[in-house]
Amino acid sequence: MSRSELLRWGAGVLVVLASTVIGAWMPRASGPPQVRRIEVKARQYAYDPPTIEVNQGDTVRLKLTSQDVVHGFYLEAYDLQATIMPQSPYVEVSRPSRPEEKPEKLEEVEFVADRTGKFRYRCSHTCGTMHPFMSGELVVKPNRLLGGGVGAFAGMLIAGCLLACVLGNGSGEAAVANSGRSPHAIP
Amino acid sequence: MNWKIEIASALLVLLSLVAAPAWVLHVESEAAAAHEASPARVITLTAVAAGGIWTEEEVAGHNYWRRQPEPARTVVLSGENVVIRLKSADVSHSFSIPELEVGPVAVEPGKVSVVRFVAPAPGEYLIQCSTRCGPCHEEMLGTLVVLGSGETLADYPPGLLPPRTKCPNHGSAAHSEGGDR
Amino acid sequence: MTGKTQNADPPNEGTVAVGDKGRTAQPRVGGGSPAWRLDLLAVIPGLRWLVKRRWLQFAVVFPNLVFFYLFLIAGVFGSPVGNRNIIIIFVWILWWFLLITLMVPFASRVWCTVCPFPFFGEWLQRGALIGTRVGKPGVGRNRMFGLNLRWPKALSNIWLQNFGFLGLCTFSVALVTRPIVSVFVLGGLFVVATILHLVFRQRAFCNYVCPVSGFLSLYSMTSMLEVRSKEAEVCSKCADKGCLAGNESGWGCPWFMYPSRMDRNNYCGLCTECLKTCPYDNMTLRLRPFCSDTRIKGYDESWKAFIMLTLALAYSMTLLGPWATIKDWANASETGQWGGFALYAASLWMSALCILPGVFFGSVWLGRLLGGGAPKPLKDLFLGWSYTLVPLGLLAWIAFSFPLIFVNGSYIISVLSDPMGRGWDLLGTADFKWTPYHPELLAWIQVPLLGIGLFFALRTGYRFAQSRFGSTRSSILGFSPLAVLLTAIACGFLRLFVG
Repeated sequence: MSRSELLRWGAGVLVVLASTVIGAWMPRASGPPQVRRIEVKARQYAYDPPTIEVNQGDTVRLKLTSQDVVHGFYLEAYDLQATIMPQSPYVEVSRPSRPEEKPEKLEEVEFVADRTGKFRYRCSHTCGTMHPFMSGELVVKPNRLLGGGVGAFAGMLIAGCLLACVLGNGSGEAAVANSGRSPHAIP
Repeated sequence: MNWKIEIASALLVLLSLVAAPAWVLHVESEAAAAHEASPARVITLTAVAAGGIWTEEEVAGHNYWRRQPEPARTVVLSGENVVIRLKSADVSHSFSIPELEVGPVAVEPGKVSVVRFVAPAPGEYLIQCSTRCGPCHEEMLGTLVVLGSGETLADYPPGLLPPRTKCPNHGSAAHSEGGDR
Repeated sequence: MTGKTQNADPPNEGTVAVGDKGRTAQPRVGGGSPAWRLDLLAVIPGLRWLVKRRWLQFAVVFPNLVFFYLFLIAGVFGSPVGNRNIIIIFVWILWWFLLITLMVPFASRVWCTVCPFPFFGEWLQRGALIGTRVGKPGVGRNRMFGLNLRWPKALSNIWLQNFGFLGLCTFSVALVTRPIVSVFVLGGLFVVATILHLVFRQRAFCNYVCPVSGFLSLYSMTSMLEVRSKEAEVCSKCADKGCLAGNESGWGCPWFMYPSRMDRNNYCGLCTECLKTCPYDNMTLRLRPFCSDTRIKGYDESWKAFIMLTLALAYSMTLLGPWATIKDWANASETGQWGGFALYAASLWMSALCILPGVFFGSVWLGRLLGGGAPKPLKDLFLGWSYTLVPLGLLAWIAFSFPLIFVNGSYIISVLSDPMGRGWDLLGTADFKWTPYHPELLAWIQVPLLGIGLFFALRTGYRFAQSRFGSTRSSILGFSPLAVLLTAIACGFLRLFVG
């Protein structure tokens, strides 16, 4: 790789990184931490509400119920697994990281939303045909990964544009010359 | 073209077409035989949530979506050892015969749960599902008919099973009832 | 339209050998360092010997055939519960994941090398499993059974595959959750393949009918592996043309390609016959940079790109998304909501066939206007730029597929011990619990993957703009509407995966 090429790549990566950081910094939580009590109704093959939005630091209390058969509730990143029995006020809660512990019978599951981003809760108890695709979403704001991602993608657009301008017409003309000779060979 | 190699590889292909199902049958018969250690009557019951049915029929990929199986009216002789292998064709169920204090035993798809008991005094006993398994759960009933010596099934006119109102059994379209959630 | 029968286009720029280890360089349009190629037959010991073995394809297809046969048995006689049946877990989780994340980007259409579908058809057609036959009646110099009809010219494109795949995917929920549906579809394809092999010549089924082949052909353009001729001059002086017509050492290209003139991966099924037939050892397997073939030849291929991108988006909503209504509609065979299903199917077909192509056409048209200069044929711009959806679509599919294996991969372990869900325990792992493997990290994989897709989309799109518009200013202006559209699509996936 030539020096000028290395420089170009370096500059491009810098622009994208800067844009990623700006993007990740932009999202804000919508308020101070609070206690949220949410009822989540499971049925074949979705949860209601489909998306739970909370802020970082919120204490989330979930009342899990099933409207038809036995369902599960496996919340990624929060080490939480519950079995939801229909027509029962209790759920059996366990920690997937500690399989040796006996499940607890609780009326509500509670956790502190300390990790930001989007996490899915999935059914962990075979509940019918679409069971493997039964899931819902917990979004803990500020969602920095989403902001950073959008920032990075926009940064790629900007970096490409800038680099093309800086490179000037040299390669552009070469391209025309080449394309004149063989209009199809654009590797 | 080397005919010897062609014939050998063709034989290999044909052999595998026979060997594969033979192997499947062999493993299946061994898995079933594992529960027959002592002389006993071995019965396999499969739970089907759509329609709410315990059945003695084989429920597999090829017939699950096509037809509804017959609800079980399982016949055993008083005093004999009974082994019931329990399977689920869809969701979690739970097997129990309350009068005999058999179960409840969790029945999970893809697993075989086993209950063993000695067949009690002659009579007809209700088989239930004790985990809510769908809209037809309440009607998911079967019976265990225990025959005394000299009795036949004719001595037990079907009277124990309540008529099915919500999920009538009509022997086909197993899944059409499942819609009213 | 896609002139792939006996490809008459000039070969790609002649390769220039640059010294050791079979590395060759090709001049690249648009400046920068020349694109590299690495001759794998020259650098991997034993590979040349292996690809020349006549038994190679049989040796890799046969085990696959036996597994496929067992999967069908499991689908028919095994548990109707999808996640307890090997046909669902191994086909729609394991196979799909390996296919889209490893085989397609790194090994082109290597799946077609090992695919069991055409096994019996090709066996009957050739009258041989391993050896070759020469003489009449047949195709080229090869003796063959069957009617050996030519495939109709009107269908010599991938439209059939486009509609077939879209149609199949409309019923994807039933397909990927119910063993018996998988049996009917996969078994059906097997039967169709066998019949078509007896009616039409060579791999007409694979080239024009197989729904899997359609997207493999499109996405293999990005792949880092290619079969190409080494020196054009050797081929032009070659009198044997065994790669085309077949000879004692092998069958003429079953994929209707003229291997010596091959300049794209699309319709090369990596069957390795041309590597065997070439009397001068002039065909080879090469490693190359990602996204090396960039020429879309016809609307059928463009629409394949639209369809695939739309399906990636649709699956991310129906299968991975949380929305009950969409799931109920897509799952109509169970819920009975056929009205909703009709709406779902109609919006899927409309988006794939009209809306996305329409928006795409709009940005191409706007780009032509903004770029200025001498008027350029819209068709040329549309086809050329539609390639940008290939890397973007492929990487979106890869990002979609990671959750399948990370979340449900543990089923592979339990199903290995109990393939039919009948309570077996072959390896002692039947009770292995469903354990997602670090699902919280998935987002961190998906974002960079989408980024890679967008990067290649923007790069190839801009290079194409340069080749058509010339000056930097008009290239940037000309490409800008499409670049914004591509970025917006990538952000749409981002929203679904992490938003």
